[in-house]
This record gives sequence, C-alpha cells and structure tokens, in this order.
Amino acid sequence: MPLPRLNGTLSPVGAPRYDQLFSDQLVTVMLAVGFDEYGANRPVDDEVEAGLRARGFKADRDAALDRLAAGKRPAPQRRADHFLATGITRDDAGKPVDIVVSLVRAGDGSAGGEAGSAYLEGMNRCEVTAYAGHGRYGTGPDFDYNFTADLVDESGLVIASYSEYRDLEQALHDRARANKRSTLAEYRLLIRQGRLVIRRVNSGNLVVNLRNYHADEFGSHLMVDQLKTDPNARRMSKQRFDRKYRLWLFNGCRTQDYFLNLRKLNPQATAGGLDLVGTRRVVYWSGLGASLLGGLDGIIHRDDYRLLLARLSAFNPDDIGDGETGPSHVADLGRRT
Amino acid sequence: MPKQLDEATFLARLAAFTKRPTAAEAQQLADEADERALPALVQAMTDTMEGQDVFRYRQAVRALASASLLQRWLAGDLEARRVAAHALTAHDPEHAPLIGLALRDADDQVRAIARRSLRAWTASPALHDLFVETLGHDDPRVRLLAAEGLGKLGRPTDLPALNTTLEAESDSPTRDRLAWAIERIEDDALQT
Repeated sequence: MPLPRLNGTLSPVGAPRYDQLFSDQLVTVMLAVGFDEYGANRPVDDEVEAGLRARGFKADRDAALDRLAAGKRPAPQRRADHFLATGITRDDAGKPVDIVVSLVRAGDGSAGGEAGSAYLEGMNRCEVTAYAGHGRYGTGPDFDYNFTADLVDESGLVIASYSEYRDLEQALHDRARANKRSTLAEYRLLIRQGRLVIRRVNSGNLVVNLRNYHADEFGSHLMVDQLKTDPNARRMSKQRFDRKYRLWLFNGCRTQDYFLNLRKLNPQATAGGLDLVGTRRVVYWSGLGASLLGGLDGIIHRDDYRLLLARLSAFNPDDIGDGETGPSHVADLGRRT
Repeated sequence: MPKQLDEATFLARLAAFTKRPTAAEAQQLADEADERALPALVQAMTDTMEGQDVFRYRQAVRALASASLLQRWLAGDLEARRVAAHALTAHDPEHAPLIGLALRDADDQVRAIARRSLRAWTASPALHDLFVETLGHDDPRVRLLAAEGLGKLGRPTDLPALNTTLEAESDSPTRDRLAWAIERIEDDALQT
C-alpha cells in the first residue's frame, strides 16, 4: 500500500492573497538557510545577504523593529538578522508597501538549535516564510549536524567515525559489498551487534514527517531511524500557530513530502489559509540562494502562483542523470472562500 | 586507467559536464585521470544534496584526487587550494598530513573545509599523529575535534598531551571535550 501523501500541483490557480499579505502596507518575511555538513550552505548565506542588499534592503535592526511595532506586528523573539526595504512594492490601491525580512542562517551548525527556533518562531510570526536547505529525505528542515556514528571493533575500539549520512553510506556500501549484503542490511547488522554506535544531534531538526517516502535510499533509513527514536526531536506538530494567512516555501530536495503533515498536523495554521510551495524532485545547492531570493521577488512583483512556480523552476534546472525531470516546484494552496 | 579520449573530446565533455553534471559522466571523467576535471567534479559533489547520485560523485572525486595530486594543488593558487581541500578525507591515511597542511593555510575557507574533514575518519597512525599535532592548533574548533578524536582512539600514551592541553585551554567547549577524552581513556585503562 503506498504511503499517504499530498503531491501539490504544477498548475495552481490563483495568487497569494496579496490583500492580506500587504495589509497595513507591511509584509513580514522570514528567510532561512539550513545546514550542510560540507559547508555548501556558506556561499548561499552570503548570496542571500548580498541579494537582499542589491534589492534595496538595509540591514538595520532598530529600523526593522520600529517598523514592525508601527505595523502592530509581533517583535521577533529569537536571534536573526533584520532587514527593511521601504516602499519596495505596492498594494491594490497603489500605496507603497514595506517589507521586513528576518534572515536566519545555520552557518557552521554550532548553533543549529537556536537557528531552528528562530525559523520556527518566524513561521508563526511572519506572513511569508521561505527555507533553503536540505529536505532531509522528507523529514523536515535542518540547521545542524545529525549524528556522529562510531564504528567499533570486537574489542570496543573505535576504528572509524562519521558525522554525515553520505559519508557513512559510502563506508557501509563498501563493507556491504565485501560481505555480499545490501548497505541497509550491513547497517542493521552493525547496529544489532553494537558495532555501530550512533549519537544523535537533532537539536537543529524540525520534524515535519517521519514516513519514509524514499525507502530505496539508504540515507532515508538513517535519517528516519534517528529522528523516530529521539524523544527530544522537535516536532512541528507540537507547535502552536495563530490563525492567519501564511505562505510557506520550502526550497530543498523533494519537500512536497512535507505537505500532508503540514496540513494534517497543524490545523490552526491550515485554518488561517495556509499556502504551501515545495519541490517535487532533487534540487542543488547552487540554485538555492536564487530560489530564496526568487520567492521574495515573486512577492514583490505580486506573481500569481503560475508565475511564481515558473520563476522558481528557472533557478532549479533538472538533472538528466537522476531521472527526475520537469519543473522543480509545486504548490498546495489553502482553501479559498 | 589509460586516457581514452582525445584532447578535443575530453574538453568538450568536461565543458558539457560543468554545465550539466551527471553521475555517470563524473565517473567517466574521473577514469580519464586528467586533473583538469577536478574542479567540476568537486563542484558537482558539493552541489548534490540528496538522492542516488550522492556518493557516485564522491567516488569520482576520490578516484581522481590522488594524494600526490592534492599535495600539488594545496601548494597552488587560492582556487586550486579550495578545490583540493574539498577532496580531502580523513578516511585515507595518505591525506592526514595534507589535512594538517590545509589547516595551516593562509585562507580561512581552506582551513574551514579542512577542519570539517576531521569530523569523519578512519583510525590510522597518520591520523593519530594529525590529532596530536592539531591539539596545538590556533582554532579551538580544530583543537576540539582533535581532542574528540584522541578520546575515541583511546591511547593511554596520549594522556600527558591531553592534560597539558587542558591546563592551557581557555575555550569552554574545547575544555569540555578534552576532559571527556581524558576521562574516557582513563576509564578504559581501568577496565583493562
């Protein structure tokens, strides 16, 4: 039986509710850049900040907070960089609209829990929230390392150590081939024998979904196993959201995997009229900075959803080698009255 | 493996790969053993986030980037050093001294990339020597990883160096990791 899921659509009808997004001539936006164990997020960190400045946003915390207060919006409670652009777009009546952007970056991952908290706070506080980073096999956004895994010999001595699933996968793949087993079977056997000792580092994970939609990929088992067995993992389903209209964008691999649980487990967010935009295939780090900024451009230019998806897809060309072709992003829109 | 492609064909395929990488082509370019493919292979490896191709790109980089090649690139210009740093792995004992070299590089990005390579390793005498050497590194994050590595390797002969480092250490997380390493080794020694 296939796992239940929401795929979203490549041809959504309509547009974000700009009348609500632009109310009081102010839009609040949270942009978040996740973490990569090999540092691929760091150029994106810089690209997004430079892109904001190039669009006329000024890094001015006091001015941004003053504008939020004047617009009767909640003040940020977590650490982020705040940018303000005045009169960067227009509402239906042609009046100038300001945008306050809060930017959260995982950086080297050492404060991933804090970055995750700031992102989560922004998801409730802001009208628009956009994430760029690993999709973590459909489990949720992530802002730090996931684990350290020590391979020990029969006498208990550590013979190798890993801190990233791609690295561990490669090592287990080599062992599995020598032992004529699958990588997953090798992993399960070593865990059972107590020869692979995994210490979880999940403070930067925001768990959206723990169904394994990618069971044919080893990394998915490792990711889902570690999060399923971690009672302290932060689950999105436990978060409270005020009832208001929001647009959430997820720029990471196959983030449509989040859709079902975001709708099902956060009814108060859905009730406010939640619009979701995510990806239907693998994407690449080199396109994520532009995707994050492209989503913002879409809001500034008042794109309808068809234009917004086209704008995002332009930054995320498909890879003919991985068999996952076609537009990168899909949308699942909240109910319109 | 001997070079299979003539110069013009190699360059055309490299250009095509740079524009639109595929894992199958990555392996074929690596098989050409032509180091001009290294920047594009490293870019594809670091750019790939998830999916079946993730470690095929890594295998291609590892196949091409021999220790002698990386040593030359780490002595090259900034761009070459950054590319080479991405190809370093502490799972290969031949890379251990090269990681030490990259950790002393003048460029902070090269040092940061090399530092990350200390998070994943396979035990070897060369790796042990690298951890001992980097206990005295300027960056506390490097010292922390060295302490963690030595704690996991568990050699009682490292206790004097770990204790000396702890006495002088001012960075709180690194002090914690040093203390953890010392206690772990002492506990193991008591049990044997």
